Amino acid sequence: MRRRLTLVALPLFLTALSQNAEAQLDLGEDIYVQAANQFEAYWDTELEETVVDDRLDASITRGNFTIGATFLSHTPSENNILDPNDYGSQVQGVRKRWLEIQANDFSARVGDVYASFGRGLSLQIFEDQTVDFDNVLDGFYGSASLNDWAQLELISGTNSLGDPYQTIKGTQFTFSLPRQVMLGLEGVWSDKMGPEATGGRRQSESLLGGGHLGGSLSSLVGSEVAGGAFDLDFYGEYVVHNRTDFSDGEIDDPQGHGGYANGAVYLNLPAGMNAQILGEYKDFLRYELDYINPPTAFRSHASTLLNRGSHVANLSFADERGGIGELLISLSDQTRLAGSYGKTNTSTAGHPAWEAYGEIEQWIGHSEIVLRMAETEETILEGSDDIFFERITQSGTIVHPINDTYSLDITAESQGIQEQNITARDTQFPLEYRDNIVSATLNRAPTMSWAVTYEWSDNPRETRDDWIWAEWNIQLGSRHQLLLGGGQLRGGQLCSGGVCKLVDPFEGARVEFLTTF
Amino acid sequence: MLELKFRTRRIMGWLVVASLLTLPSFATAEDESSSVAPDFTAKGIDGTEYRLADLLEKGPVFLDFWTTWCKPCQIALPKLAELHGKYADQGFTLLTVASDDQRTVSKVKPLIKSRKWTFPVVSDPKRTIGNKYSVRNYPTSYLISQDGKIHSVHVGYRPGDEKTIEKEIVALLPQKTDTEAAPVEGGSN
Repeated sequence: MRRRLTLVALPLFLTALSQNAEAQLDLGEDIYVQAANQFEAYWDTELEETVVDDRLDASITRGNFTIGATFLSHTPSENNILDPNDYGSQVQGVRKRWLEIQANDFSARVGDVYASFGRGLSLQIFEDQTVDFDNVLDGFYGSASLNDWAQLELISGTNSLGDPYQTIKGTQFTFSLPRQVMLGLEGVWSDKMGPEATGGRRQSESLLGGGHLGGSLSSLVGSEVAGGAFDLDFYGEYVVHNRTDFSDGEIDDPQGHGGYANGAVYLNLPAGMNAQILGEYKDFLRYELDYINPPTAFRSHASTLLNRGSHVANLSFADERGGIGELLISLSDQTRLAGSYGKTNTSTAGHPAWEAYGEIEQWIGHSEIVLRMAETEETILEGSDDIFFERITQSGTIVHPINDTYSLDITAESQGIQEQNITARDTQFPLEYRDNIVSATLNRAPTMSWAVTYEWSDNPRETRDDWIWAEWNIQLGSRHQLLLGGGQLRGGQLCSGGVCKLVDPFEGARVEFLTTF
Repeated sequence: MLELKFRTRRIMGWLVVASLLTLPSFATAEDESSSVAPDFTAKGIDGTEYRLADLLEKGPVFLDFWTTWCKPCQIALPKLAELHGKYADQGFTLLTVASDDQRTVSKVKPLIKSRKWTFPVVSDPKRTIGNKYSVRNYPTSYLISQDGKIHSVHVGYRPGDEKTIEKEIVALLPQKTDTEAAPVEGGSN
């Protein structure tokens, strides 16, 4: 009972606190408070479970100094429900704390720290709340401008949330060369320990070293190339990985590497048209590290079905190479085309993937119509079997303003899937099924929206044929948002950038309350 | 049956809690905040260096955090661009912060170029500016008055929100009387 009272009292207290934000801020001329609170409660009627989560991020700044903390509360009705970040089944208290100083030429932070070097090939310590990812380090991060053209970054810490934990130390020099060319040199050392339950023995040591270079052609050769009709941006990064394995003696593994390059060409065409050509290439071999997150060099989708079947979830840093080419054409202010082709392969295991994608965006009056189509083929390893997937997806969205206040947003997606166990091809027939989603959102600017999503599938593995979910989103003043939802959610793969997670199916109701103050 | 009653009662109980949570917010739905907007300096994708305090000397600033993978952001940006074009000569600045991290930062400039947007865009791949403002969702926007106070916060975007934003901007434009201020078409609420 006491716990339930606490659960009720906490969000009420935080909400009340937000109403008194002015009082919180009236601490002096150079003191201010930044905070955001997110309260979430959901009831799974299928599993008869309830979960109440609250997260409060707060910081106080005075002059150059900022102190911050994150309070987390995760209280499930059943002890086996871990919190979204997998900190544990019962989490109450301050999970992050940090102190930061920022001056003109340097900044330093102790406590929970984040950093990224280059494009994340050698180090990316970050949090992505979309997929509840957080590989924060407990330690020190510092950044200093050595002069007008050189900057030094240092990080040192341990993975404070993990078991097994690892110690990571890294440094990056960034040089601003003439003509806006950027050069970076980066080095990272890490030491991974085994789980405490098994004695916490040292497992492995990794040493990364590399660099990156980026710039644009117009800066290199002059402010304008071909009369301003053409420009090119380029970026390249290469990092080598030396790993020593201590699990059975001291054995140096063969050297690995991570490589990434991208280029973007901008073309101004006649009659007000323009085109952009983007290319990305990656090459990873023996590069499996917990603290990196480089660009995927494969298309990341926003639409649900394309996202679920994305190769991004199956990137293999052990062995993967390939890239993507993308073309964006603006025929006019009303018509835009986009197309991409991505392909990856491996040098040894041979699990290929490719995807062709096309998109048309057309404005008719104030209404926007987007049509998408994609074909994806991928072979992935499940257990000891190679499974082949072919997915053909059609998707369309229309956003139509009814009047100054109301607008309607409708999206329909359909994906045909063929799945075959290549290893057992002689004994198993291909499996064919189709997934479909229709969602409609009625917006009432600027205060609320109502959304309904209906999904159906003839996938024989599913325990049900359809799912329906309704949501009511209310903006309360300029500081608060309330979301009420109920129904069934199918779950499935959710990706944000290069990070993917599998979301469990859900049936029940959900309340979310977001406050920024 | 008893179990069902218990479950229904529990759900009702939580709905009551949720309702209670909304009450103080409704009471202050029209309140405006007056938090201090954290200052920052950042380089634009065109190479120009932008400092918030410098922009505020001219007039109010609408600070918009967005990403290339956020669809509502891209529906909102053309509307915001229209406001920038309409009120820039009266001191207003639309400053957008592309919050794509290292994974998708290479897509920012091509998107801007393809849409022919001319408002200032700074890239914040390490979320340095975003963290100062506790940004958690995209798009999130802050209308900052000339005295450096956050006038309003907008989380998410619904078509038509730009009418409300425009009204707020017009109210904050420097030294404009009602007759001088540009008329606001339509309206919501």
